[in-house]
Amino acid sequence: MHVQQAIFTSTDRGQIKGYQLVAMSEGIDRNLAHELGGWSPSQLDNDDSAQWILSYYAASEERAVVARTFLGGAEYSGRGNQQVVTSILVLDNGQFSAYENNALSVCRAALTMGGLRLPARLPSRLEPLELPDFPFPFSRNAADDERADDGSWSPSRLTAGLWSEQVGDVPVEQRFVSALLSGQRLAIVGARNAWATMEDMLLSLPCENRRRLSFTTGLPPSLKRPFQVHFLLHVSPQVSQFLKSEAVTLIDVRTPHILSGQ
Amino acid sequence: MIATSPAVDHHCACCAGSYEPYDEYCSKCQMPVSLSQSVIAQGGGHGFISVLGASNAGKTVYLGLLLDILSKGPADFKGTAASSFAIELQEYVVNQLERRAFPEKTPTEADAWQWLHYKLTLAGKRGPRTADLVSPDFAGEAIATEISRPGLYPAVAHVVSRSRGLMILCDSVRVRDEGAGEDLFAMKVATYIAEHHQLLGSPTAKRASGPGLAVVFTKCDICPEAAHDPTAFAENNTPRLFDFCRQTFGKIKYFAAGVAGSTGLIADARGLQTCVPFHIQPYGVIEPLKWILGD
Repeated sequence: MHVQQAIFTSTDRGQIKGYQLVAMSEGIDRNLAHELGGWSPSQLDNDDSAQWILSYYAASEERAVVARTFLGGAEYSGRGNQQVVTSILVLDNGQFSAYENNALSVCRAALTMGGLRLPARLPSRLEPLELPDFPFPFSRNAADDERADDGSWSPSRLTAGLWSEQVGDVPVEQRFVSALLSGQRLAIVGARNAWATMEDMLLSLPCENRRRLSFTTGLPPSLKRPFQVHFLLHVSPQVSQFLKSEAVTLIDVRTPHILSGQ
Repeated sequence: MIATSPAVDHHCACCAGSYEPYDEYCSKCQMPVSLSQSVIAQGGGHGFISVLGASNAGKTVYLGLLLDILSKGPADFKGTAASSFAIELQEYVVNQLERRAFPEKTPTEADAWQWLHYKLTLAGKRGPRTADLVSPDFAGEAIATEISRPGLYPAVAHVVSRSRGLMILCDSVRVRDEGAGEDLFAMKVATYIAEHHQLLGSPTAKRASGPGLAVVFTKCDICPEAAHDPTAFAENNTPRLFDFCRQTFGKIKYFAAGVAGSTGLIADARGLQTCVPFHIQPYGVIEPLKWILGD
């Protein structure tokens, strides 16, 4: 299957100077381009160029967006920042359902096929990305484990413990699922493996409900990006206040009984 | 006798939209609610000033240094911060410049913009008068995006409509060296302003009562011809803007401003280049505001 793609970053070559959609494939029209620009970030919380962030949202009733954000070298204006680059895939409902409405599966396939990356030279036009018609078989255990300092693999899935916890007489997993199905917005702070945690959440949901579950594994919270699930490494008092004002429930997985009282 | 608490105004000072007490930002224009409350609580007339321009035109540096100069200014033209968070922009810019660095690029996210709120004291013929000055530090892309496709950054439209004076900042080096692009963008901005103040096609009398527009050519330390005669520089290098403003605005003036006495490029071990100011030498920073307010 061929999916549409676009790149959002800062350049002085476009119609405007600064952050904009700098390249897109032919299937992205003006309305969709406007929507993609609205969700794409111009700043990140840290300048670690080894880190990247996965985000998912529904751009419309017919379009699902999987986006990978990373740092891509010096911003053109020489003001000291590194440019934030967001590589975007746009799937229609049929294409997304072939991947069981699982943005992480789409991301894995796209990375394997060379997509969701910054090209060596920034083109003005992109070709649609070819993805397999169905997701690759994938072993979750291998992805979830982290390599220990001595080089050995050791399981690090915080969610293994989290999912089996119980608050009152309700399992944590059930609380998460009902919260997500009811549309409640969550900010999960301190999860060591946001990818694995998010995958657990998605797999806990019926396939048809996953499409509406927007999430980001690390973009800073913003009014213009109303994700249902945010993953944050830490949260400042200002961000905490902002999340509270947006009715986002903060869940700190580093503390025991994290869902007590919620 | 029943004691009643005073009614609290939960309307945004920028767009007049209503907000809830626990909101951080106005849902319509993303003006910080705390700023709205501060502006309204302090009463009096408050005037918005819009500082517009393309990305990298120098808006953040200009605003930050303007506030710093105002805070140290003489009694006949002096500004004081009207709230604690209003100093953040000034503090950030001054600290960066003292470390020989320019401020980082302003984020496109509207809730990350810095807003300033200053009380100005101006000497007048009939004695001193005060004016409230409210302005956001817009991201250039937000201005460009809102002009071409309104709706994503409503704060731009609201602030422009309510502004008693406006500045268009143009990078003098880009104006001189990069052809028609800067001229056309500045004209787009001027057209947008005129549209929001109902000046397009209006009679002379209405144009005379419209807001003052200051076109400021920035970075004139690298472009001395702009500093020498800004009006002639505008006429020769931004002819479209010059003609449009002459026909549309009753109050228009051209200025040149600079902040760095000299700049250079530093490359790090990865080859990434950063522009650095070698020393700070403000020039022409306060004159545009003085002209707008003196009006």
